[in-house]
Amino acid sequence: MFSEFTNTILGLIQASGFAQGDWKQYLMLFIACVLLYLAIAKKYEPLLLLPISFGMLLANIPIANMSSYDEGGLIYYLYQGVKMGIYPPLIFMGIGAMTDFGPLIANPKSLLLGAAAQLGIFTTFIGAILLGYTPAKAGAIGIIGGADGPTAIYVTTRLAPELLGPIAIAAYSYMALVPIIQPPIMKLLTTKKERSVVMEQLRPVSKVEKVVFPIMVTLVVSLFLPDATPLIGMLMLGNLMRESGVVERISKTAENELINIITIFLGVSVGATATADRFLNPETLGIILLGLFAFSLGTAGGYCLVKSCIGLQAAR
Amino acid sequence: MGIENLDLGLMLTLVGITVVFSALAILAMLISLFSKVFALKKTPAVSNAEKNSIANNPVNTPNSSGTNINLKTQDEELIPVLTAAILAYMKQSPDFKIRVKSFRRVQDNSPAWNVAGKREQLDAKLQAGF
Repeated sequence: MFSEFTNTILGLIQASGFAQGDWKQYLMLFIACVLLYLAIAKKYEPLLLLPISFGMLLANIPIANMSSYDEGGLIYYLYQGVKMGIYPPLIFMGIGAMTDFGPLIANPKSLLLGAAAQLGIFTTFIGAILLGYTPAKAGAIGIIGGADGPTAIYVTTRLAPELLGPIAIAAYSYMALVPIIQPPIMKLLTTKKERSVVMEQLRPVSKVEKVVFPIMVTLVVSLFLPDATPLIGMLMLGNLMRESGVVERISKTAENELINIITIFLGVSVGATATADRFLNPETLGIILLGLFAFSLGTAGGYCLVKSCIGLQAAR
Repeated sequence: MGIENLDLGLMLTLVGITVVFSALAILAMLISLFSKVFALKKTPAVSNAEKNSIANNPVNTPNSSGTNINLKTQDEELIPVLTAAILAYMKQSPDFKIRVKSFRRVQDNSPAWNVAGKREQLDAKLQAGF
């Protein structure tokens, strides 16, 4: 009787996660807990970091089969929205519904500041090619420098779907860790005087301009780059819903409930791609490091362009 | 090492940067252009309205809600007020003969807080019996 009891207890212990897990999974669980700490205690982009890190935690619980790759589970089905490129355009629609493009319309030159991220994207692209990645994989890694999670996911599903997990986790983690990554770069590249510059008041923008803007941008960008239509089209649809003022209910849903639901699905399923066996290998670690390089250089590119614009204005 | 793909990578970089900057520059130009188009449409409409209002109302002034009101009757009252103010300034008695023949409003570009301050001081003096 006693031996039966002991055997049952031993069997239970051996079947538990404690006995089944290896050191890599425990390391990933530790990383997930650190990220959760940053999200909750330090409030570093908690809306993104909390679901991502909890997804990572779930995916690395031994024998729970909760990763995005374990067929049949909840997170597996949620991950299909990432894999098929459904979530990024929906997120863009919500962002469009939240964004006031008035300052951009008043000062169209600021469009070029976004293009400064090209520095990070293309430097990393060349670097990744030199490290032996194929041009398609290098392109997917470089896009992390654009500092935009949905774009990184969308581009990767088209160029290198096999890298979707590590690239999504890198892009979203760096977005979440902006409060850690960007301030040192800002301090390095700007003076205190520059940081205390008060931006001048821009001209008021009429409603007609704000309504015409999304339609015009969709037409110009989509005709120029048809591949970008799903993202730019949904971004501008969201913005048109906001600015037209005739579909207030839909606009509010897009900018609140819809984007929140998609953020939960996307965050958890992206986090759950970071399983120990896939995450702790040289290629993934290489992507994470290259992504950090791209992200930092993209940020630096923005400052450099602004500084050169200020220099040019001063010279005039 | 992927040296063999380097040429392709450099070419893609060049094409990518050129395309992105061109597309954004075109967008920036179009945005500036359409804002000017709307501004052009607005300007004649405003100037016509202004012309009409000037023709109908010799002297208009904006009230607090931003609309113009006819001050014709107030202008007639303003002439004795101005005459009295000039006499007070010149320290002359009312029997000293001067005649205000015309006056011209000048644009007041003072900031709103400045105007509010002046008005407050005037009110205080009026309440104190000047």
